[in-house]
Amino acid sequence: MSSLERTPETAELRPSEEALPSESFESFEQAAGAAELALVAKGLSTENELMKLATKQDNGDTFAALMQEIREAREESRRFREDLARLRSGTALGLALQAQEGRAIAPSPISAEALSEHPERARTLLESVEASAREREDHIPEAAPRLRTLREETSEALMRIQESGDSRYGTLSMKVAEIAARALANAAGLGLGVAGYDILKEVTKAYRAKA
Amino acid sequence: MTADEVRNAYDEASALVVAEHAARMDALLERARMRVQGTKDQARIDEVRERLAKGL
Repeated sequence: MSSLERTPETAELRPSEEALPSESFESFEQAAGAAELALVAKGLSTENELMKLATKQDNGDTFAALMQEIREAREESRRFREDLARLRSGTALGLALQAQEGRAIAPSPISAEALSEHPERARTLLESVEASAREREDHIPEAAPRLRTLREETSEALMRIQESGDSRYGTLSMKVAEIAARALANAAGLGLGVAGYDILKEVTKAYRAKA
Repeated sequence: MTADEVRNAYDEASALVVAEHAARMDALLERARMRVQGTKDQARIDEVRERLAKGL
């Protein structure tokens, strides 16, 4: 039996449409998109300004130095985008799983029906669960076997989403959506929502220290 | 931990990341402009030196 076909250890799989933080999610996705757009736009406009300075330059050494500055700006922007991606992932987990954590039996945090209608959200959440499980697996040895199982479940769910050929704006088949919902239910049981919230706090602390 | 707390934490953290990136980009651009200005100044200095050497 595939790990995805077994009964979740910590959760009953049942519809919980009322638990879907849909409004919170939509508003968060909008804010995250705006933040990423602002960062990308600033990076590109800086590269553009640097390129203007370089193309006007007759001095070969200065031209080479400016081209190096462009590469540096691109690399810095990539690093900052990675930090925003970590925040997005942590927030997605926090929002999706927060309502269910701390309960002896967690319901599925987001219903299969809701995931079926939002394939991109399902993919984001599963990718976040996978990354978070991987990170915690290294730091919490006693939970490693359960986290590893969760990571395998999640990878398999992501693979099925990919194989099913669902389009970016289409819907997921109910079978795949149920698998994804089950993986999320198990993630809620392992406290990954709090782990997502911890990522936000950690990034805030690191950036405040730089300021 | 509530949904509002998570969302507020995201807003604060993402604003810090975006602001720090913008500051870093501005600093890179300023450094590049100073470099260009430095090159221009050096060219002008070289030109004056050359003219002085020729007694002009």
